[in-house]
This record gives sequence, structure tokens and C-alpha cells, in this order.
Amino acid sequence: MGKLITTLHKELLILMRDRAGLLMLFAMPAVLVFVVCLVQEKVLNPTTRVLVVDNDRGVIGRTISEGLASSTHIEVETRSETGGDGEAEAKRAVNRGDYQFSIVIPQGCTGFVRKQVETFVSMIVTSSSNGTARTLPPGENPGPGTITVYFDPSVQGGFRTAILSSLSKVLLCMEYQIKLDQLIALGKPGQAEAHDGIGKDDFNFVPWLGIQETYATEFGFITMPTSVQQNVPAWALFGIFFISVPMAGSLIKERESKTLDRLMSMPVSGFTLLAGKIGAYILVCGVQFSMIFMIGKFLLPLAGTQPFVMGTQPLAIALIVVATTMAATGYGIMLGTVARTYEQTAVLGPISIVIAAALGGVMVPVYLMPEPMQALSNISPFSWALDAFYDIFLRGGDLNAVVPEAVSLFTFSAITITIAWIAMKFKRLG
Amino acid sequence: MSVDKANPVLHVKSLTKCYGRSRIPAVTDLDFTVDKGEIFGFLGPNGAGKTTTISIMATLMKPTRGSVSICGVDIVKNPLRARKLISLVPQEIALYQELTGRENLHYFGTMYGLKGAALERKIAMALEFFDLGGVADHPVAHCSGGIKRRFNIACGILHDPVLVFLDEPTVGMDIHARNALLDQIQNLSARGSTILYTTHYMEEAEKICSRVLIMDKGVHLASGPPSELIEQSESCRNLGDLFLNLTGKHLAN
Repeated sequence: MGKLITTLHKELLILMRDRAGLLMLFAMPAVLVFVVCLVQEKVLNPTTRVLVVDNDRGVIGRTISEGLASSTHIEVETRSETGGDGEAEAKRAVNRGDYQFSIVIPQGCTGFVRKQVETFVSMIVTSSSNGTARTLPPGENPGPGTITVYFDPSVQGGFRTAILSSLSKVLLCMEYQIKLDQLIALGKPGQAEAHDGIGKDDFNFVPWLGIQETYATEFGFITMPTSVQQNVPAWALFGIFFISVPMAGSLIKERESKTLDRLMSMPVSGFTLLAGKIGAYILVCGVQFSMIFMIGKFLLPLAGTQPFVMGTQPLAIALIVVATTMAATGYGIMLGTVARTYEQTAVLGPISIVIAAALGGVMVPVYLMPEPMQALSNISPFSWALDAFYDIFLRGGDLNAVVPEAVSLFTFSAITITIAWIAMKFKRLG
Repeated sequence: MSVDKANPVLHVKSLTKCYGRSRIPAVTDLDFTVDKGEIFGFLGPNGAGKTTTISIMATLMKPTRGSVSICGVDIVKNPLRARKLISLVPQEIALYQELTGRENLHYFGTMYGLKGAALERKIAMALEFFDLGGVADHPVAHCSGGIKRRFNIACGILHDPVLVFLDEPTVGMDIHARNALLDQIQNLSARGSTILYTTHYMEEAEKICSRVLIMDKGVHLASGPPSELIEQSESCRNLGDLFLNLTGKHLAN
């Protein structure tokens, strides 16, 4: 045990004193995750910027603003103005491309609706009324009951229709709610109480019918990945796999300096030497991974992204981190044994890792790749590890869900170490 | 320390090594013994088979035929036991350059099975023996060539090995550093260590070795005390002349 711990300590000391290596292990993935998250933020998380000009300052403007703001994909800015040139400015802002659309709620809108409702309530006993929210044809003169929406011309027709239809729905609901409130509070005590004594408080307004949003993907996601949820684990994995380069380098250095010969002539097993080395790299990867996660959780939100969400499966995450580290160290050991010179690993290592990362969905997520590439991505250990993270973050999976991917990564490690062992025996025994 | 001829520390018998499917052996039927307390010169031009023989004796390689025993322990049958008795000090600076000399000593001492106070005592003794106390806490990478070479040997003697393989320990050193190191090697022998010493500097071998073995192309050519070997030859004034006579004056491959 003493030999194992001393080997682990020695490896950690060497790693800590290798500034170039530290830069590659920590600074590179940190910078990459930061930059790529911000770059891909607009691609993976398309947000719509909306300006609400609330000249009414009543319940209608407030409800519309709150409803829009509750969507994760809509960024709302609300301006409350009376008597100013808010509407003209909103039109200009949309025209400039500052917002995809703008909603102008006219002054007195809520009052207008309440007045209409009062009329409606007084009429209800004698005649029927059919006031509902509707969309005015362009050019029709708007009154206080008309909400104007300015669209950026580049906004697609389908999106425009969806916005107008949602807005109509919200307005309709509000109309009905105000009507109901008025009926209960003002004019119909006899009616309301006659119906088994039901009062206003008995209406909890919970919708009876609902809509469930699911994603029609073959990947079984229950939530779509944001730029942060995709890139934080992806680039953390990239950083982990990059440890195979310094690891291979350290093996070649030991071989070239004959330190390996010296060690092999000592009363210490190859397993102890290897386990000490792997143990040190597992610790380093743990620190590296935590650092990337912390960047995702605390630093990226400062730059305007959503924070990284770790979820509730730390054991599953730890298992995949260890399995990936084992795969990376196995690859490093194989590289360091098979390559003849340090220069070979310095070229072969990064190139092979970047190709495997691209194939495995680090740079462009696998679910955005064309089908043949998705099939091809299955050969990359990055793809297995990322899929495990999708299990945890996007499919609601637990420890059991990531076991198959962990087994694949451990198997990859075992195969690469076996290849290295055979190559070493072949070289040494002649 | 006097040489104990009755109990050879190293016994090499009919040692032959062929690499892969090659029919040309790198070492052929090599026989020799090294006695306790000796500094035994193992000499030969490049490609003579010295490195192959040392690799086999240090348990890094298995022989094709023949046997090697260290203090009666067969290195093929009991490599782990044999490894406790030996120390390989390669020609290269086989140290971790990023670590300090003391950290290297600590690491290699632990790998030899030393620990705790015994390890610290051995480190202190090795630092004193090789006069390395002043640079013990400097990273090896920042040390001079001579100091690196001394650390290289110091890391190999912490566990008081019975047999030390010193592979060209003075290569690339200036005359002052070389003389100082040769003195330390002789002191090491005087402390009881048996040393198998390889070098291309014949005057070094003549100066410090009690016996030498000269080989070429994997074959034993001559062995014995340098003075006797020189005396037996007709025209050789020193070991260098004898070496050239035996191995030829042409450039080796």
C-alpha cells in the first residue's frame, strides 16, 4: 500500500509541477467550455426578445408580461408609459431588430374591458352578448380594447400565428375571468348562492384540460438540452480525455530515461506502478471535472446563460467520471506504449482525441447530426460517456441507467491496457 | 573490502539470448562469476551484447538459454527475490527531473521496500556519502550533469544492494566530476557492495576494476585482472591497447 500511495503522490507532484501540462488539463477545457457555451447559446437556446409597452398599467398588461416571462425561451422587457411616444419607439425598436415583436397595450384597456363586462352583466338577464377577443385586420382603427403587436418582418408566419393565437387565448381567458368575477361579486348573489351556496373563493381556476409537451426524438429526452447542459459535460469529457496526452508523454519519458527499466528491476509489481499512475490521474480528473461543473454553475450565468443543473444523481455522475478517466488513462497507456517517441504522442494523441470528440458529439451534439453520422458516432467513447450524461440530465435516468455506458468505458479501458501490456511484453522480451 | 572468491555473488552460466525469430544470438554461451566485494568491469564495444546481458541479469528480459543466479537465487525462477538483491543504475539519468533529489531518493527508496525512519536514515546517509546535502531540495532538472549522476547512483544504493549494475556512470562528465565519482564508487565497494561496471573508458576500468571481462558480438573474449591480461599480451601497454587488439580497430556498427 505504501508503494502505491508513494507512486500516486509522485505522479501528483510531477503533474503539479508541469505548468504546460496543467494549462492543457485545466485552462484549455475551462476556456473551451466558456467560449463554446456562449457561442452555442443562440443555436441551442433560441430566445425571443419581446418588448411589452404597457400604457394601461392594469391587470391585462401585468398578466401578459408575467405569462411571457414565465417561458424559458422568451426574454421580456416591459415599459410602462402614459402619454409618451412608447408605441412609436416600440415600432422603431422592432424595426431595428432589437426585439422580435412588441406588444402595445393601450391606455385604459383594463377599464374598457371592465366597462364592457359591466354592460354585459347588466344585459345578461335580458339578452345575450358574445364579446370575445379577436384579431383585427391590418388597417382597422384600434380602440382602447385593441392590443397592437408589431412584428419584425423576418419573423416567420408560423411563429407569428402562434404568438397571435396565444395572445388571443390569454385575452379571452382574462375576459371570462373578469366576467366571472363581476357575476359573483356584483350582480348575481341570488344566482351564485342559489347554486348550492358557491362563492368566488370556490373557483380555484385550475384548468381542467392540459397540454403535455414532449419531444419527438429518438433520443428519449424529457427535456431538450440547453447550450450549458450540452457543453459543460461534453467539454469536461474532452478535458478528461486530454489527460491521455500527458500520461502517454510521462510513460515515454520514463521509457526513454530508463526510469522504467530501473522501476521494473525493483521489487515492485507493474500493477502497483500502473495503479498509482491511474489513481493520480483519476484524482486530477475529479478536480478537473468539478472545476468545469463549477464554471457551468456559477461563472457562465454571469455571462448570461442559464446555470448548469447537476441533477440529483451524483453517484451516477461519479461513476461516469471514473469510467471515462479509466478509458482515457487506458488510451494514454496504450499511446505511451505503442508510440516510439514523445513527438509521436504529441501529434497522434491530440489528433485522435479531437477526431473522437467530434465524432462523439462534443462539438456538434449527436442528436443534431445526420443519421449516418449518428450511427458512426457509436464507435467513439465520447459518445458513450455523453450518452450517459444525457441519461442523467435529459432522460431523468439514475445510477442503473448509466451502467451500460460505464461498462462500455471500462471495457475500452481494459482493451487498451491489454494492448499496451502485449506491446510492452513484445518490446521488452524480444 | 576484500574479495570473497568462495561465494560468488553473480553466477552466469551458458547465457544465450536470441531476439524474436533471429537466428543470430545477441549473446552466446556467456560464462562468468563476480565475487563478493568486487568491482567487475564488463567491457565491450557498441553492439557487443553488454546491454542485453545486463538486462537479463537485472530481470528485465528472459534468457533464451542458460542461467543467471544472484547469491544463489535463480533470476528466472525467483525474479522478485532477485530484485531485492540488486540495483540497476542505467547510463541515462533515470530520475524524475521535476522532483527534487530528496523526493527521488524517497520515491526509489520506498519502491525498494524502505519506509519510515529507516528510509529517512538511508536518505541522509546517501546524501552525505555522495556529498549532495546542499542540493537535495533542488529539482533534479536544475542540477548539473555531475550532480545528476551522483543522484542517479544514490537512488540505487539506498537499500544496500548485494549487487549494483553501474552502466557507464561517468559518461559525459568532466575530469573533476569523473574522478570524484570514481572515488565514490570505490568507497561504495569498500563499504561492501559488489559492482558490475560497464564503461567505454578503459583507463577507468584499469584503475578501479579488480577483474574485467571483454566481450564482442555476444562472445566472451577475455577475462581476468587488468594487470594480468595486459601482462599476458605481447604488445599491449594498457587495457585500451588490449581492448583494441581483441575487438579489432575497425569502427563497430
